[in-house]
Amino acid sequence: MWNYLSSKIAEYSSILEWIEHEITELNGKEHDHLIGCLRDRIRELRISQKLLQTILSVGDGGLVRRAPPIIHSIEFWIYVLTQGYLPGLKREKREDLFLRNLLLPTAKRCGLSWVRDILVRLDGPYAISSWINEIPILFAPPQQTACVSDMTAVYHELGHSVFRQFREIGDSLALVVSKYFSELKQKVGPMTPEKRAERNRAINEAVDYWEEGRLNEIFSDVYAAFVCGPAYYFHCVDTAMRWSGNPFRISLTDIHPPAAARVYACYRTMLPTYENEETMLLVQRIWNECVGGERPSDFDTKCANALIDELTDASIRSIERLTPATQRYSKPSMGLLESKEILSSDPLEIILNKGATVLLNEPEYYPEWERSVFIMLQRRSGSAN
Amino acid sequence: MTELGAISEKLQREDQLLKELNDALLILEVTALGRNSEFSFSERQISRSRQFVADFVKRLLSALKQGSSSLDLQPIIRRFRSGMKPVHDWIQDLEELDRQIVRKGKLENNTVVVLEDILSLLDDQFTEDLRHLYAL
Repeated sequence: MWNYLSSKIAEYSSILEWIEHEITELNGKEHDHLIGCLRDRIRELRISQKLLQTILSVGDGGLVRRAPPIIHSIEFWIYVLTQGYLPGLKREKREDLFLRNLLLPTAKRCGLSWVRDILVRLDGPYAISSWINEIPILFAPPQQTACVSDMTAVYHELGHSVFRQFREIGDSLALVVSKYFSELKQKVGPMTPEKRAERNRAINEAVDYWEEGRLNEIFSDVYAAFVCGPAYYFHCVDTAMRWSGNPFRISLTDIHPPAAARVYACYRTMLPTYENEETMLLVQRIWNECVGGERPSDFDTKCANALIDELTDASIRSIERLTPATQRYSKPSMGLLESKEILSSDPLEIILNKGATVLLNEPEYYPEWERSVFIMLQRRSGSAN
Repeated sequence: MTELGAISEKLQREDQLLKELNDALLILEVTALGRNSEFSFSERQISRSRQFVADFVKRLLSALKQGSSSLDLQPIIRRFRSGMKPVHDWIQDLEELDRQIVRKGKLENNTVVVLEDILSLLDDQFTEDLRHLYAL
């Protein structure tokens, strides 16, 4: 172990020096704060490296057992720097900056006051990595600089940043799950001991199913529907129809809850004023016509409407309590005529809702509408030409 | 969110708990061995480490007894449930640890082993997730 420890200390010396050199080489004028955070992280890694050095020089057989977790943590952060932030900064193009400039004010308007910068990487499916939560990396598909139709996914990703920022959100949702299933266990009529054991096993499996990742996903759906309204409901239905096959199927290897549960949570998040709104009714009709497939028995245990109702309500309470500046989407429904007209003052959420209305009601006009939106957005972000 | 986002968040949460517990244990062990002159941990760091271990043990005990826990403890609770050592034995060991911290304000060798076992489970989970991240 001593030789190994000694070798890792030397190795980290040269890796950290290389990372520091790469950071210095970057032209970070758009990302001063991020560059500062990366330098801070390097300083922290050097402190960990020094701790390993001291453990090595003391040479106590008991203390050396503290070295592997330190090594694993250093490895994790080297990954974050060399695979996440550095390549993002190095490959950043005008298009990435365009989206970043569009999203920064959106994040503020949506209550993410802690977000100081966003590093956009238009080289992958939608994802957010909030390794440094005040400067998340947002991955998005490259066509996003010319198409708005999928941009509603951004709000779901911002929801992950909210979930990450306030750990009590996850704890409160975990408590909802635990209480719900504990009460379910009590609600039992006469039953043989074998049947009862089987039922309890299914309930325990359901508790385990709602691990952190899935709570995070359902919260982020509720958050996105909360701030982006019917456009996100449409996005959720669209995603379900594009990718999910049987929307009731529960997959233990998928971090996402089944599509039917996600669509239901989004619907439940909408303000009652949207219940009879034209676009909402149209999306609902599409969903009802297309949703089908066998309904597996574990869906009703793991994703019962009563549980999703409670998770949705708890998520909304958390958003309202922890990010009071978050603006809930409440614009009265817009007809086709109003939706076709884009105002330079329209925030992204309204643009996306107008887009959903145009796309669903006059699809042949949509490409033209989208082009005019981008001309306006590029002017707004200051990246035109 | 893709798996990348989910695993990133999980790893970050695990990294923080692992680091806090490992650092606290290191500081308490260094102090018990009388080797602090080499490490130069401050009195504040030492007392914070004691407090961290005491709080951690209390939180873990409460989670095991009540069956619900905050998200950062869930991976360790799952590992307890699926491991060879019965959960009841973990509860007994943690209660003894809690008593020692309250009574003596310091840890004895046999109870340090319990914390090391927990740390080892946390580290196993962390490295498993780290390998997962590399494979994406």
